[in-house]
Amino acid sequence: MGIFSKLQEKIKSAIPRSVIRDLSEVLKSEQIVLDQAGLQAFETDALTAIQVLPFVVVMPESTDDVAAIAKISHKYDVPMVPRGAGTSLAGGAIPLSNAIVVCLSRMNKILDIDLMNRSAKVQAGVTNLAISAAVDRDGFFYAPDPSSQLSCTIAGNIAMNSGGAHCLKYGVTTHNILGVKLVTAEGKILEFGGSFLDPAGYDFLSLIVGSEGGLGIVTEATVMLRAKPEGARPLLLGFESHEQAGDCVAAIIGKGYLPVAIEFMDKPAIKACEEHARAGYPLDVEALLIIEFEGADEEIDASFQQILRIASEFKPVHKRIAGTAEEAEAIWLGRKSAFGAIGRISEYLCMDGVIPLSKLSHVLSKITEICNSYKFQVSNIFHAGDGNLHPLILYDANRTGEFQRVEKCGAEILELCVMAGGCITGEHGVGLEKRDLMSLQFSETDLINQMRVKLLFDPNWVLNPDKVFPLELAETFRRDESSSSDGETA
Amino acid sequence: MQDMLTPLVDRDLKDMILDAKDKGTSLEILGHGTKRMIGRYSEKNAPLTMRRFSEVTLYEPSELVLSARAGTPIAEVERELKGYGQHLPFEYLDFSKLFETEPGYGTIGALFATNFSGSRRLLKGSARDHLIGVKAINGRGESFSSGGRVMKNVAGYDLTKLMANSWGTLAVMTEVTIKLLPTPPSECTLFLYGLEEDIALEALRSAIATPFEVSGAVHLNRNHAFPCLEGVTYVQDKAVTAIRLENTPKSLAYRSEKIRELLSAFGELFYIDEPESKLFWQNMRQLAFLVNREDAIWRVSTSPHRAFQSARQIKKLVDSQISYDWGGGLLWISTRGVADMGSSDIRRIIAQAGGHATLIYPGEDANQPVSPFHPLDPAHMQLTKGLKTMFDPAGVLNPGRMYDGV
Repeated sequence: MGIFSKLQEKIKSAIPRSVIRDLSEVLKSEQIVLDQAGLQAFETDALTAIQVLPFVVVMPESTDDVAAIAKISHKYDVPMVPRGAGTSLAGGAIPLSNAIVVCLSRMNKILDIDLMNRSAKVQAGVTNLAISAAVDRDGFFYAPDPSSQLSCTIAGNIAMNSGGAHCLKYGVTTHNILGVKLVTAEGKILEFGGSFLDPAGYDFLSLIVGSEGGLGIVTEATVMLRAKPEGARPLLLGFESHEQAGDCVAAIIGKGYLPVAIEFMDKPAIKACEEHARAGYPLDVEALLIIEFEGADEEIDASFQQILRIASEFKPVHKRIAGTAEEAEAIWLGRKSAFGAIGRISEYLCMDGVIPLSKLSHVLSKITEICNSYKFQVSNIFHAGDGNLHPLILYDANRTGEFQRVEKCGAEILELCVMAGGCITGEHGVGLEKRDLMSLQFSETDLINQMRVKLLFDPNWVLNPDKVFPLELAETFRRDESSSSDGETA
Repeated sequence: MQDMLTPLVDRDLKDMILDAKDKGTSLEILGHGTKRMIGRYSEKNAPLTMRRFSEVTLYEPSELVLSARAGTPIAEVERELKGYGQHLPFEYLDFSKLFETEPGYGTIGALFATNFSGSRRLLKGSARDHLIGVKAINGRGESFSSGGRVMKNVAGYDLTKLMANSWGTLAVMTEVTIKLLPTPPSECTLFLYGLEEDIALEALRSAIATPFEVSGAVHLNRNHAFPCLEGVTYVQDKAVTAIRLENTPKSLAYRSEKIRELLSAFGELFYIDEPESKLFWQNMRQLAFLVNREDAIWRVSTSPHRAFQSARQIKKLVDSQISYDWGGGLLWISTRGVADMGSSDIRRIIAQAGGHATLIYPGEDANQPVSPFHPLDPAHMQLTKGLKTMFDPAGVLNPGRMYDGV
């Protein structure tokens, strides 16, 4: 059964009109979206194949607004689906037809920049790039850099524990958040962490980051700022085989070099990006590595010389050093526009599996085999330094049943990643898309231990309730928990 | 003295947990016991050591990843890493000098369970940040795993990092998987002597704000400085402000010169090369500055911005010596002859500034019990107790180790 049909099954009776009445009492009318055309803007996210028209969308402007909304949700036992900019590739922000969609995009203020403390306090609807832009002149930046950083929000980044090309050096969101303000399912406002390192007691921040809006709605965050490097430039290396490129990455890391990013593209991806962005990528290679170093010019050049020496063993057929900031920008523009470039050719499903680097060539040839068996084309883009694969499976969205087939193909790829010792998602999150694939990676007990955490924060299971956990398992779990607590009460 | 339980495999551990659960008793979860002096102690808990869970189960240098059973000695892990020029980048604290235990002991599981990161935490993150996978058994006797052997993994809730700093109260880790980093090829340290605290913190802040990747930024007061400077040339009997850089020798030459120019107004900068630089930071990691047995010792995480003001207020009220790590974000406070070790004043002042204070050691003459961990407010305590109940409803695992009733 596909995700969509399962969703349809979930739709319950309509929300009482009194919910709207109560919302109108705490919010201004322009903060409530009820009309069909307005609601349509929220019916999907970046997993566009699935669309569900929400019942109502609210646009809070403060933490107090969110708390008031949560109290109404709690009063009527109506689910809430939190939403940042709606850029989730995993369907993390896709509505439920009986839910209040809580869209944080109006909470986009930077509240405090504390350079002495190397931190910034922001409302959660601020975009990722807006933070770096605000501190750029002072020589700082916010490190996680998802491809959607121009539009995605910190709220969404926290929900999905987002990464990016440069997290090989700087880590993902969980390594860069110092504190959050969270509104609970019942409408209480809690703070975790602050403007200091390593909070006291249990590490609730580690649970909240990556919980996909299932534990509460994050309304403010204190993020870590880092000093900007003097410069950064990439080196391009083209290879005749995936294996050579993969082995080259392993050798670079094994010999003690840790570039700030190592990106891998296969031939179809190179071609699409080059046609789109004219980045000067070679078209006659099977695999391309973009390897970036930071530092002063002389330091970067010295690192490049070391990398070229290591790479020579793997016989690269194309070598190009970005000598200027403009060249560097062009190379990154190609990579960063990869999804858009491939999107011009066809609809695609973007996978996000992670594998141990040593399994790269085996996994890539298996991916091609799997996609061939479904008669789908595939392009592979890959954060090679940390093993995060993004196979983009191209399919025809207009053909009936194609989405279900491409989902199945994707599931096989993710199963392959897990079998290789990896995982089903490295940076996009589980959302709706991979909810039913969680059992590939986790045992039932593993998932029950995670769901107990959700139950602690969200006893009525109203926060983004249909995401992350396989539906049937979640339902069984809740039934068992409620009967055991009934037993205890009796 | 109760007999020590010594499980060898998961099955043993599970049986011991279930047995305790059935009998309504509880367990004290230990590695080598090197941090047993820290935190609360209950003699009701039957001691169980994980030391026989000892094996490096996976090491892939080209993927910067290592897995080890939880009782594996840290020393053994580091021996493996050394052969490939890699290390545990968070510079975990070594309490052996402070507690007069055998040096070189400590298990990898306890290192993560307690999450004590040292000076390099400023640049490279904490122990918690480098824990990417765990296998564990909770207080219900359930085996579960979280994370894995790949360094990016956002599937499901992150129970891996939750295990860090949970002091064995939620589950007993049986295996950990760690993200490693290459050991920097060389290092140097710049010393400034005799700066006033506020000036020193300003110097540290300026250095950290440069693009030169400062990997250590400490200011030790005169009394704390002396033991750390053993073996270092150019020693002056004054407070020391130290800035560490780690990189290739060529980069170090360039970067240290840039920092020297930037900080020239703060005073004369002394360039400390290897091996003396390494010796100084090893002394820091071993807390060589905190060896007076009479003193109570506090470790305080706070906002660097407010560190100086907080320290000044504390010193006004409590007879204390204060030094700074993490560019001011971490305070080491030693107090002497104060009834509650300074607890009420220190914690009140730090809570106002943002942060928390852990009593690492109450001093030889301690006569008043003080909560070692910073007390939580009611809302956080409720969640803490709730989480404990989810993982360990019968209170089998280290009950009371962190807080009363947890």
